Amino acid sequence: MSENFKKIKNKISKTLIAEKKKKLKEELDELQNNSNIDIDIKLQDFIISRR
Amino acid sequence: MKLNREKIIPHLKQASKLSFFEVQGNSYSAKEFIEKYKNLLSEKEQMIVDYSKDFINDTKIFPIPIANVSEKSELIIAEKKPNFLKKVGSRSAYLKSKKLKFKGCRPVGDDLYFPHEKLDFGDTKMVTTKIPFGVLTVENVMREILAFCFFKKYKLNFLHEPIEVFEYKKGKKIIGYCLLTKSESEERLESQENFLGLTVKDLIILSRIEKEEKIDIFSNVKSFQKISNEWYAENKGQLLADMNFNGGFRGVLNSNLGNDIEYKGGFYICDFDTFVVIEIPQKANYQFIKNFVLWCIIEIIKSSPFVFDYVNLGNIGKKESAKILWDIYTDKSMLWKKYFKKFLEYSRKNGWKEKDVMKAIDETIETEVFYEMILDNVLNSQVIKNTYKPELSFYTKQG
Repeated sequence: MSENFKKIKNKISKTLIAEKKKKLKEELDELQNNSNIDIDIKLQDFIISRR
Repeated sequence: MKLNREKIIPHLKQASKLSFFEVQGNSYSAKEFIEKYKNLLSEKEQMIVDYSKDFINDTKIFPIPIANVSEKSELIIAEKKPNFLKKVGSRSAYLKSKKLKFKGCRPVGDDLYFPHEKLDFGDTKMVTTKIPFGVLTVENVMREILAFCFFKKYKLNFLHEPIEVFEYKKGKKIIGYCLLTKSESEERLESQENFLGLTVKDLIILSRIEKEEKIDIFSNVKSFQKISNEWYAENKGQLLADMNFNGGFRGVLNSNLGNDIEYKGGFYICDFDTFVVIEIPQKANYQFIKNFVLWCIIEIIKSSPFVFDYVNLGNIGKKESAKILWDIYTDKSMLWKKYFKKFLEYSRKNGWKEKDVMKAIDETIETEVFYEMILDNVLNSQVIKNTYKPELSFYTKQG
C-alpha cells in the first residue's frame, strides 16, 4: 500500500472501510463477474491502458 | 475496421536497447520536404507554412536514413550504427546528448497496421482507419511541420523543431517516413502522474465513503508529483484555448495526457501528426459554433487528468450516463474550469452568443463520440464491464 493511500486511510477508520466493503460486496462481485479486468488491478495500470 | 490486437501487441513491447542501421531510402531537410509535399495541406494551412518558412531548417544531419530495425532486416544497406538512442513510446527514439528525436523510426513491415481514430469537423461519430505501424505517413510528417509553423506564427510554446525527414524504401516502394526533430525535453508529465497507489476496487470503496459519509478524501489530490494542479490547469488551459481559437486542433489521437511536458517552468504539448488548422469565420453561424464546441470538448476531455470518483451506472442508457459523468467532470476538473473560462473570453471576443455556446455544449454531450470519450474521465461500471484486458492495450506509456 502506498504512503499516499495510508494517509487517506488515516482520515477514515478501519471499521468504516470494513463496513463499506461488506456493504458493497454484492456490487463489487457483480462488477468483477461481468468484467474482463481484475478489479484489484492498480488504478494507474487500468487508466493508462485505456489511453 | 476490426482491430487485431494480438498481432500488434508484441511489436509494442520492444526492448529498451535499440539497434540502428543505415537503411534504404532518401533523406530530406525539413524545408526540402515541405516544398515537395505542401500541397497535401489545405489552402489555409499552406498559408501558415509559408508565413513561417524562414524558421524551417534547411540542412541535413544524416545524408542516409537510419532506422531501428532487426539485424536481419532486408532494408539494411550499411553496418550497424553505434547504439546511442533511448526508446520513446513504441516507434520513436531520443538521442539525449544532441537533443534529437526520431519519430517513426521503426519500419517493421508493410503488412502491419495501427488504428487511427479520426473525427471529422461536423461529424459526431469517430471513424477508425489504419496507418502503417512503426513509421509516419507523408501527411503525418507534414502535419507535424504545420504545427511547428502554427505555433511559431501565434507565438505559442513549442518544444520540437523539425530538422530532417527520412523516407524509408524497400526497393522502389516507399514504406514510411521518420521525422527528426530537435527536442529540448522528452520528460513527459505522465511519468509523474499520481494515482495514490490505489487499486480500482480501493477507489470504488473510497468514493462511496466520500459520498455517503461526507468525508473529503480526494479534493486536494495532486494530479502530478512535482507540479501543482493550479499551475497545470492554468497553463494547459491557456495553451489549448489559444491553439483552438486560432483554428488549431490536435485530433483525437494526439490529444493525450501522455503528450504533456513541463520544461524549465514552461508547459508544452507535443505529438502533432494529426494536427489540422481550420478557418474561424468572422461571423460564425450556429452550425459552426456547434462543430467547434464538439471538437474542443473532445480534445480537452481526451487529455484531462483522471477525476477521482466512481459511479455505478447500472443499466441506464448512453445519453443519461454521459450527462452524469459530464456533471462530475465539470464539477471536479480544474483543467476544464480554467479552459472554459478562457473559452468564454475568446468566444465573447468573437461575438458568439453565450446561449449558443451553452446550447452547443448540451448538444455535444448527447453525441456518440462524447459518450465514448467521457467514459475514461470518471471511473464507472460501464467502462469496467466493457473494456478489453489491459495487456491488449495499444498505448505505450510515454514517461
